[in-house]
Amino acid sequence: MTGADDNPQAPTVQVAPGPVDEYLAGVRAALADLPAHEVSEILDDVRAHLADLTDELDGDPDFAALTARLGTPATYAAELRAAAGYPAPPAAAGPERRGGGTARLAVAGLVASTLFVTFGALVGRPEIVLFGALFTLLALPLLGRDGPQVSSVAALAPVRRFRAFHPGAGTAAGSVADFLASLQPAWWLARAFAAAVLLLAVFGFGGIAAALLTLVAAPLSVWIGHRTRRDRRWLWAVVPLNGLAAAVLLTMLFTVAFAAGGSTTYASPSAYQPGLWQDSERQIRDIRPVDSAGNPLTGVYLFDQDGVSIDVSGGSMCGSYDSKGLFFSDPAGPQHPYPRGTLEFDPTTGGCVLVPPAPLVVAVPSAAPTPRSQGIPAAPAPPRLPAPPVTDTPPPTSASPAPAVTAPAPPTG
Amino acid sequence: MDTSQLLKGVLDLAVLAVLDRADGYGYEVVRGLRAAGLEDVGDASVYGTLRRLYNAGLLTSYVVPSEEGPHRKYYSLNSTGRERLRDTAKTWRAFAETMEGLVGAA
Repeated sequence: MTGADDNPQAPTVQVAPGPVDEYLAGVRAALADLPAHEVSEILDDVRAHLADLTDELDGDPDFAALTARLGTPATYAAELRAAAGYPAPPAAAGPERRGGGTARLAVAGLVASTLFVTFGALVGRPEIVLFGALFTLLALPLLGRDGPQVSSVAALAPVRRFRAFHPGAGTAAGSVADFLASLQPAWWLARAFAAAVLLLAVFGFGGIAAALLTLVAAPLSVWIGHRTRRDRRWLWAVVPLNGLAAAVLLTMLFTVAFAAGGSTTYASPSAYQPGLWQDSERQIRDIRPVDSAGNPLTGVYLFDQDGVSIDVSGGSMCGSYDSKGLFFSDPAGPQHPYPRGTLEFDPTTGGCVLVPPAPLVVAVPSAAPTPRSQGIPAAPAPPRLPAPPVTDTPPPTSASPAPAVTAPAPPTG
Repeated sequence: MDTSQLLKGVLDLAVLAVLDRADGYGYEVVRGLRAAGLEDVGDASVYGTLRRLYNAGLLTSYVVPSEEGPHRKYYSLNSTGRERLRDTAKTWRAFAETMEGLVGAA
């Protein structure tokens, strides 16, 4: 036994190693949840106990003899545990409990790290990201001990339940899970792009470098992805970085979406454009009224459905002059009857000049149902026929309702 | 009545009393208890009790090389252990007298 190994005076073999070692192994397994140093000291005691027993049992007891004298290893361990005041063994199987604490610590570190890194990246606070990265250090005791499959984490009951849950093939949940799994390579490329963007944002390189860096990062990201499938220890680095990449991509997405939203509002000018516009795309700078026969009318005031006068001068290039009063009394300004003519910017003088309404030929709709003009059925009305068909008492100075029809004359000032 | 039920309450006192007579290693304590008449005591219970008393600071231990087998870990009462022994013994006597008075007529 071990005690004999370092004592050359002692006989090396007192006990046949088989049954005693078997018994010891059984006791060790039953005490596996206790602290390692405690188990080690207990087993030293048990080993000495079995050696003393062997003397009493005349030399060479088999496992059955030991069990008959002491009870099964589990019974022995339970009795010792009770007498020594150790906590009762957990109801779950022993193996899971070994290293359960460090495994839980590692998982907690992974979750906390991912949350902090992602949150820090979303709110743009690098110090939170770095603080989150520290949490992965909690996993170091575990990762130094466990193999690539991180078996003690895999043995945790919640992890086992999670891994055991497989949505049935053919069901909706199953196809969704399969679809998401098939997206993994796409995610590897996306996170490579995010990594390139992040590095460039940190080190401040240009756009070409972003493209080149993505080319380098993409195969690296794919390699890491495959590597992580084989060695689950990589998860402690990959999952927080995935959170970081997701945060970067989300931030970019929002930035792009806001920029697009801003440009669309900017692209609709009607809400901000002064003046009168037809369907937001054609500015109406003057109005040329004609009667049902196509004869030009002058001195016409126009009102909308609420009786508010219609003014086209707001959109004039020379509108700013209006506010200064320069063209306040100009015939093209507001409060003047149509047609007013248009104000045009004159580059030679730097001011605006009034361009009177030019001669205009318009086509009057044939079926214009004007009761007083029944006698003119012809569609292409001859425009220059100065034949006022109807003229009631013309109130030339009246700015109100009835469409005033005066003799064709240039607009009065 | 099974004496093992009674033993549970007084095993500490019994082990302390055995070690107060002489230092001993685990199996010696078992044999000492048996020799004193406590045949029902379980080996593992004695070893467990020794560990608990040792962890509670009532015992000291020292290793003695053995010519016949592994080193033997001897346990010895320290002053705290002796104090505990006196206290527990006092409690036990009072309890035993009470029980004797209670069941003496039976």
